[in-house]
Amino acid sequence: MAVAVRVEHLRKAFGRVVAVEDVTLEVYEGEVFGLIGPNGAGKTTTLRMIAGLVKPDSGRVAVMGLDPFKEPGEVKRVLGYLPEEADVYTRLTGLEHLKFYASIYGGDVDETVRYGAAVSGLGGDLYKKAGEYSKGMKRRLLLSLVLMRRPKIAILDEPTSGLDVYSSIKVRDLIKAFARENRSTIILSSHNMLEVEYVCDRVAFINKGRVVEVGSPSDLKSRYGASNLEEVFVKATGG
Amino acid sequence: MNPRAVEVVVWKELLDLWRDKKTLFAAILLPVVSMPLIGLTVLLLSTQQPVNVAVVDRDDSTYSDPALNVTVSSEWLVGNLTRALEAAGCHVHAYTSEPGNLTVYDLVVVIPRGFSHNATSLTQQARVEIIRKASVQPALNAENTVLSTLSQFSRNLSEVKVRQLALMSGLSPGSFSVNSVLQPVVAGPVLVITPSGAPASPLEQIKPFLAKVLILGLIFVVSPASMYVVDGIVGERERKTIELLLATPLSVSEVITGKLIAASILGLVSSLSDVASLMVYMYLIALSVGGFFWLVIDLKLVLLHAVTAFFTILVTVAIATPFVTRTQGVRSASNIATVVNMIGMALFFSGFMIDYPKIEPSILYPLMAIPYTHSILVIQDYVYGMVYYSMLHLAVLVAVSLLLLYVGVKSVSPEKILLAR
Repeated sequence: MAVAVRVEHLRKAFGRVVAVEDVTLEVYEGEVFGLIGPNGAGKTTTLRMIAGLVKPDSGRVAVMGLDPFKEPGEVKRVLGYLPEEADVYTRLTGLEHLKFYASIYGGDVDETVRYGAAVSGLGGDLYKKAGEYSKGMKRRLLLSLVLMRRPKIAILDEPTSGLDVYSSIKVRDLIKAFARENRSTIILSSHNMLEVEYVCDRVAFINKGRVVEVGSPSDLKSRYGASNLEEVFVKATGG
Repeated sequence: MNPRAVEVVVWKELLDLWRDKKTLFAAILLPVVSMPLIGLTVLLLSTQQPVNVAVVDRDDSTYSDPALNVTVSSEWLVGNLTRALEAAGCHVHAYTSEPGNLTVYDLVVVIPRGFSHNATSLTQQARVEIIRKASVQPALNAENTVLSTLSQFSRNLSEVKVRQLALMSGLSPGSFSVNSVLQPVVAGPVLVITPSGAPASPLEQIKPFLAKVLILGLIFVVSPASMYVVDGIVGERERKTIELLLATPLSVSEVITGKLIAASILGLVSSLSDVASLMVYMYLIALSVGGFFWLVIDLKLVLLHAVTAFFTILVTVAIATPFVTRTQGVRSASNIATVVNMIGMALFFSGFMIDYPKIEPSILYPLMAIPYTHSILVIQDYVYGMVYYSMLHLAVLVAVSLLLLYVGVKSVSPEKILLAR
């Protein structure tokens, strides 16, 4: 299988705090890849480095063979990134959000907006100001901003963080449907093991800035003799 | 940098701004409403602060000089003073002896005993005493009214005396002029000319003052514009909207430039509304003190001011950007923007008071290191008729603002914006 994202020995420190110690992983084209770890494990910093937003102190990143720091424009065109704590412009409507982000990428803006509107599933609510949206609606809108132009690689940092059960299910279904329909590569981070097990083809456990295990959920469970990924994680990290 | 990408950011910023009624109100409508309101308040209140004046006629007599055949009555002067002071809105109380409590009066005019006698004399001067409260500013206006009335009274009396003396000396009425005796030397005509030497029209005479008002107006535009930039960068980070934007193919330069242009457009609109409201304010203030302020518009000057305001704001936000993007919160970013604004305010206030083109080169040239000096010189050189130098300073201002914008945006990376500490 072709490699969509290759990360080799990434390290990043902020002052004395080492956020990422040594992360190496490969994500294949068309797979949904989960990055799992507790808060502060280094998931967000790793994803930011893949997206070209934070420069690593050492190590290499290649996105479809491109270096995000040498060819940022090209990488950002093949890649969509949804930050964990992203929020909306409260005074803009959902539709205006779609138009704004579609205009940034150019091409057939109307078609992109139409697809984005369908992905969001917000219907008539797209004409309302985003400040009036519930948390779940905001998340769906933000997700549609990333997915509406059908990126080859989508990086979703904690896409269901802070959402209620129903909203989480909707977002998870949206991601799965998108991945199936577009054969895009999706990297999502989460500390919700059930979610990852449901959505991802393969997962990597990250703890204290290091990748401690990689594999498909079923392989990992059988390898560690565990009934779910939570048990695998505890055993893999020696916790 | 892709202009189309910048245009997309500017569109989003302006749409967001258009719906941000509080910011619009603070930047545009507040000065439009508040400045004329202040002027109107001053105008209304000034009519509600009458000055209490006592005119004490201790002389209370009429005297005719038999030799000159001139008659003066202190009652005439009291009448003249009362009419003039009442016309100026004063409360006038006439007495023939000093009132018991002088402190209730802001101004006391005392016509001493012997006034009429001395006024008709050829050897004496008649005096009128004035007692004014130092703490009451409007009393100074009343005093000026008294002095003006006395001057006219004195002038009329002089004319009568001169005519009588001429008759007594045997001069025929057509052989002399009263004015040539009373005022043998006068100034005039005073010819006001333009820098090119042509006679200056009333509009051209008022233009330097108008230009200074426009320079003063720059004070009010740099502040909302730089605060908008603070909100656009640090505020977006706090509202968690910037990271998604930085993850798009837009470069940081395009994002920041778009925001700075939107801020400059806000500042420009704010500048025009400030100038309009400032002129209404000046007009009302002038009315309140009985003066007159020509509400004149020189479209070329206003256009030049608009262009200058745009680049002045751009230079301000460009200077603030590298610092603002490196601060953690809106409060600390606002403090930095305030420091930059303060420098601008100090210079623009001095531009209202001082003619920069007249400053010695040894002082002016070092001042030119500050971009705001060029903002002032663009407008003042134009008014001085030095259009070439005005355009030169505008070119410098444009070049410096674009250079600082380039340096400002190049010094910022997504990481610095996202992880500022």
